Amino acid sequence: MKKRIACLLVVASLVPALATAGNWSIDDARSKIGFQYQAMGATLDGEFPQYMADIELDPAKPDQAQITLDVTTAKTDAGNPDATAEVGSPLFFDSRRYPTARFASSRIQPQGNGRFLVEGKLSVKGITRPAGIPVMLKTEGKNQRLTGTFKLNRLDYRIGEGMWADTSALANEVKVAFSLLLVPKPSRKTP
Amino acid sequence: MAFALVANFTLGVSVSEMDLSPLKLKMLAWHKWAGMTLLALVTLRLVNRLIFQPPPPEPAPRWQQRAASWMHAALYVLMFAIPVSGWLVTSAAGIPVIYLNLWELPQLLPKNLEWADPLKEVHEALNQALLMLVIVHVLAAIKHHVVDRDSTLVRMLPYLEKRR
Repeated sequence: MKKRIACLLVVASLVPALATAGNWSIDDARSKIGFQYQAMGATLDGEFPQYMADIELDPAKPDQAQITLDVTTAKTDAGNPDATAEVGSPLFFDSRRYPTARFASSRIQPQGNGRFLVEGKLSVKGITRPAGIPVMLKTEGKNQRLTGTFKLNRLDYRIGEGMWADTSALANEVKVAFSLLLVPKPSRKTP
Repeated sequence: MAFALVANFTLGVSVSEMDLSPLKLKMLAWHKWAGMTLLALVTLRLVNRLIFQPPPPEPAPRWQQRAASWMHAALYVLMFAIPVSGWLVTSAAGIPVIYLNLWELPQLLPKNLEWADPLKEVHEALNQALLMLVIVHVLAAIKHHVVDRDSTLVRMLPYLEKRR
């Protein structure tokens, strides 16, 4: 009986760890991953409203952090109803085949004053390329605020194939800007 | 100007029936450029009309004189209101007009997607009204030319000979 209970406890303690790794969660209400792109020269603002992150971070040793972020491509808000309806289609994110876009960090270089270059791999639509994202980390009470902007070329990831490869209508460059509020998970102690 | 107006009307109608594509985005931009050009031209024309008296109308029954002046007023109002309503649509949609890919025109409204569709319906309704009025205007001009045999039509068209 004792053995059984011990067994259950072990399993129970494993479950949350399996469900969400990392020692921080993101406060969605106070976080945003947005992007900017240009159509016929006009700038439009979009947003990735749904994402999940696994963040292993010791604020005392931020360069040791591990960050993995998955964005649900089908939920993309492209800032215009026609564009939002189109963006999950095979020509753009092909959300049915590639439901998530992932960034996974591999190395973090401190650059002073709370700035870091997070190097890693960005995988979108089955294409994985190295990416370096400059970020800033700031302590907000018990929480940490992670912000950054970077540019990418949508055609590197085949976002907009076929007729949409025409960059005179839809610019190649897309600017991504994010601000994430990391909240320590209560279940585990944060150092 | 009448030709440009018809051309941009046709462009607007065809673009509204297209599925989203790079060509549609380009045609939409052309439609907006043409609309803004027409707005500038109609403004100049209105100023000109207010400064210089038009020539007195051809003799006609009083009801026709009144109908004609109402028609002209309505045509001017619509020629002005239609491009402005289009500008409001694109402002509400949050897509500024980049005139000739060179100059970004100011937005008339802050971005508000809930207003974009109703404003588009207003833009379309005004166009429907203009189409009706233009048909009546053209029929009336033809009637004056063919039935009354006066110079109402030729005085609108600079390249035709004056009738005596």
